[in-house]
Amino acid sequence: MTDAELVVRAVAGDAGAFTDLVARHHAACLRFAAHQLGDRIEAEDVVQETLLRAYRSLSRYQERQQFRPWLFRILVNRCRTAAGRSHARRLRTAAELTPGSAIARDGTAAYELRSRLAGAMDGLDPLHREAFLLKLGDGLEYEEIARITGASVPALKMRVKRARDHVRARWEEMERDEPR
Amino acid sequence: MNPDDRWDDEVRDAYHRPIEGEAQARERGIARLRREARARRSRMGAWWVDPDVLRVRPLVFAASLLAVLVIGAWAGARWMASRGAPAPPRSIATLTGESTAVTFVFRAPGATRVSLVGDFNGWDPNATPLARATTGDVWTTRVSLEHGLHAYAFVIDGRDWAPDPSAPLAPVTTFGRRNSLLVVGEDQAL
Repeated sequence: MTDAELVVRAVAGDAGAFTDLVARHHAACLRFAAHQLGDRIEAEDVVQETLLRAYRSLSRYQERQQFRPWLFRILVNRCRTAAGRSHARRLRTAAELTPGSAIARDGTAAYELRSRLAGAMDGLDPLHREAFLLKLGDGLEYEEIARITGASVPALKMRVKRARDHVRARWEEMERDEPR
Repeated sequence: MNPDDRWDDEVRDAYHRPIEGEAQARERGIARLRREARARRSRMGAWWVDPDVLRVRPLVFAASLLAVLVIGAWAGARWMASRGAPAPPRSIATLTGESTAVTFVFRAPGATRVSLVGDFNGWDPNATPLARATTGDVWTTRVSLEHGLHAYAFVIDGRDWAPDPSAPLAPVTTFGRRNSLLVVGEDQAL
């Protein structure tokens, strides 16, 4: 069943259809929020808020929209709110945000790669970070990212370029520093 | 593959590596949504039976009730009118409490019976019969009417309704017919 079909059923009151949608998109939401916020626990809270808001706003959802961009628009807004809310706490714990600490350690190779990405993105402001993740991480088109973030396509291209340069420089620096 | 594309793929790969606890987080999320759905259903069900759920101020309730009654009466009257049913007789008298005796004279050639109907006798054709004058087709009656504006008509042989040709017509139609107007009292005139 497509997202659109599930949404139609969910709007008609089928809560099971909405949980099917959640099962389908939860991982993508959590991944984006975790990389955007740099905090796995906070990311889960934000995703939870996003899903609840989406569920309560289903009546305003229009069928011509695609579900995932619509959901991501809510998610991006929640991430922005959460980033502002926890700004003070982030400042206090900035010293702890060493590469790898942003996303919980699980002792796997995946952890190594994730931690390198987290470390390379360290220092990126939220707007550059979200544009970079949506473009390079989720592989969305600029027009789609524009609808999600509310920014213009030229502004997004500039943000992605700057963020990419920043992340790549740090990434390669970390590669060079790795023990051989 | 050029180095830029290779690096982009590496970043995408890092980004898509599963996050630990992902499945548990999803289950927690779904459980939370199910609770929300249950709570919503419960709230909607309670709306019908729990008076605390629907709070309405007494004044708002009274105004709403009045509006419903007025709209209902208006709609009912419209429906009755659309079905051709006679509307109830409508009095247009503006009364002052004082009375004056008024003589009604009506010429009805060939009639065997004539009566006066109006807002003052409940539009009853049997309430106020006219008496035939000694000279032919003229019928008369004398009625004490309160000062004010009255609507009236004559009924010939119990079936034909006729306004008074010597009086102005009322702007309203009662029983689908035209009535005449009469002002009783010194200070009032049409």
